[in-house]
Amino acid sequence: MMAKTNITNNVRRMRFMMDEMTQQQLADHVGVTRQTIMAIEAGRYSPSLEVAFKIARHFGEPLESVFSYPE
Amino acid sequence: MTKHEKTAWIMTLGSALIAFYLASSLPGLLTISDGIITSHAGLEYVCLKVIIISAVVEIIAGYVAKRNKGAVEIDERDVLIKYKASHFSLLFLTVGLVGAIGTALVSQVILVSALDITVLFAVMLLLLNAAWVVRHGTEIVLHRIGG
Repeated sequence: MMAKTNITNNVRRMRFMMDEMTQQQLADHVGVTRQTIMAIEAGRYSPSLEVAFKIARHFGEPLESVFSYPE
Repeated sequence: MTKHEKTAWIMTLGSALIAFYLASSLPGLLTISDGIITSHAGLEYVCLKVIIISAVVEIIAGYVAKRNKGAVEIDERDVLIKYKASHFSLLFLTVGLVGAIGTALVSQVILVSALDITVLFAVMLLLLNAAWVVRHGTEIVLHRIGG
């Protein structure tokens, strides 16, 4: 029913680069639930542009460094 | 587990129990004679009980949702899951209604020439509860596998 999205992301890697930030901490900063962060990291859910920008901004990286859409 | 998933579990289990109770009570309260389906007086009470129990289940689910107030009330994924589950259950309800009406029409030709309004109401309640099970069950599945 739920196909994996083609959009890949580095959210998990970036979380660990930021002092091993927990999923809950990231979720609280972005304003979503921990389950949503889990689904994004697992590639089962594509976030909206707004959430994607919030995540990238929280890591201090441009959007395309966090999320990418392969050719 | 998010509070929306907890609510979905309560609603699924509650609705499944109600649907099972109604489905198991229904055959004993119906009589078919001379092509006419009639109900016993007890069917009204069963319907009333189902409505009251449904309201109680809704209140319990609402209480659980309020009790688990977290930092995030609802996010975009929860909304998407609710939308998809509602859409799926509406599809189920439509097929169920068309099937029930179709069966009644065919039965009218073959066997049943008239239906009691209480029987129709009870069947409608059963379908609604089944659709509720489908809706909240779908929410649980989507919460678990992604959404």
